[in-house]
Amino acid sequence: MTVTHRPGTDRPYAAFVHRDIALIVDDDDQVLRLVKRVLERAGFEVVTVSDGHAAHDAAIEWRPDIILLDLMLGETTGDKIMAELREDFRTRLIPVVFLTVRDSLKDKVEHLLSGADDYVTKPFIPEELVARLRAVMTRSTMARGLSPLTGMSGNTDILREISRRLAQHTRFAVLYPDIDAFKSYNDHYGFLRGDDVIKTLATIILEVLEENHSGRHFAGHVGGDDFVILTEPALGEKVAAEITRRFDEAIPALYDPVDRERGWIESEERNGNILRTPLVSVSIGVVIVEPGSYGSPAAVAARASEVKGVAKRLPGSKWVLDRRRPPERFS
Amino acid sequence: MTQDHLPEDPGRALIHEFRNLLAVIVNYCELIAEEGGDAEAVKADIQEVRSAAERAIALTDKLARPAASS
Repeated sequence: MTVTHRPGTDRPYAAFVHRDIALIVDDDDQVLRLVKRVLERAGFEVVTVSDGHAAHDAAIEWRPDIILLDLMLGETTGDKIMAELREDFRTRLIPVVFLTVRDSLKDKVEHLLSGADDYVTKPFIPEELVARLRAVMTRSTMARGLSPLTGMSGNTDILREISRRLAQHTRFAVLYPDIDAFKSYNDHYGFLRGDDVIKTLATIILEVLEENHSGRHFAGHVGGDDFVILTEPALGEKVAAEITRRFDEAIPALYDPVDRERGWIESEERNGNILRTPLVSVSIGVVIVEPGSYGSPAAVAARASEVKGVAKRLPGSKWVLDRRRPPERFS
Repeated sequence: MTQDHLPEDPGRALIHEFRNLLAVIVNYCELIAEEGGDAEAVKADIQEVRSAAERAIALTDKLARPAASS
């Protein structure tokens, strides 16, 4: 995952440099400097935090690809921080490696069992530290089926989460955002800049969910320009409205000045016709899932996709709430 | 959570800090060995080693009287 925008910083949305971000948490400044130095030399972008209590916030702000946690951090411990990270949907998928001083084997085994992805002992061999971090990052992306582009949950996780909510018989909202005219943008500017549009939407989705806090949020990246958001019914429309608004604000910056000013991109069709395509926008289908009305995640996805289709027929960024009576039972 | 995992255990915290400093010293020595040609980098690394060693010396006072540090 490469973060392309961070709230509160002047970082641009469109970053072409794909550097992995490591967050290091250690209460010893000298250790921080040492690890930072070794990782920067290996090509990482490094964020350091010396206060364990600030680790969770830093992870939310920077969305690192990997977190290195010292086990003992003054008043708190690496274990406690990891528990916090694992409970939060924004940070629960980030792999965590413990940094420990040489200690008993029993400790190490315990920490691996408690959910760490690996551990490294201090003093470490620089090449080994880097190799281990890279291995953990690759493994966790593959094992968790994350989208390599946005670092969000992929289809396996999405399916599991929808199934889980259906099985719980609770009401929940499904939002299905999709980018309009994305193919024209991709063809015109190339796939690398196309990726930036997708990452911009991913970032906005995470920001909006973060600001409308709820323990029931979930966001996944289906692939391409398709995303799925699950949340509580009361927040569905608010979240959809906020995503469309922010997307429209952010998008002009991803166009060349000439295209941005006139508000469209021009492409020539095979027959020589000049085609004008408006700036990309986002269409969101919103479906409230009533307990017992859908028999499978596929049925939920089909309905959400249908509603998104309705939204896509309208111009510009918008969201459409499914107002039809919920089906008795889709299978 | 077992007793020896409690962060407020002063003995354990001191040992952790001491090992940290030794680890820093060992690691910087290795970096120095690697970048022998770069005088500026070596100088900066030696400064780190020295600072870690001085902190370790100061820490031995606390190690001698762990109760006084809590």
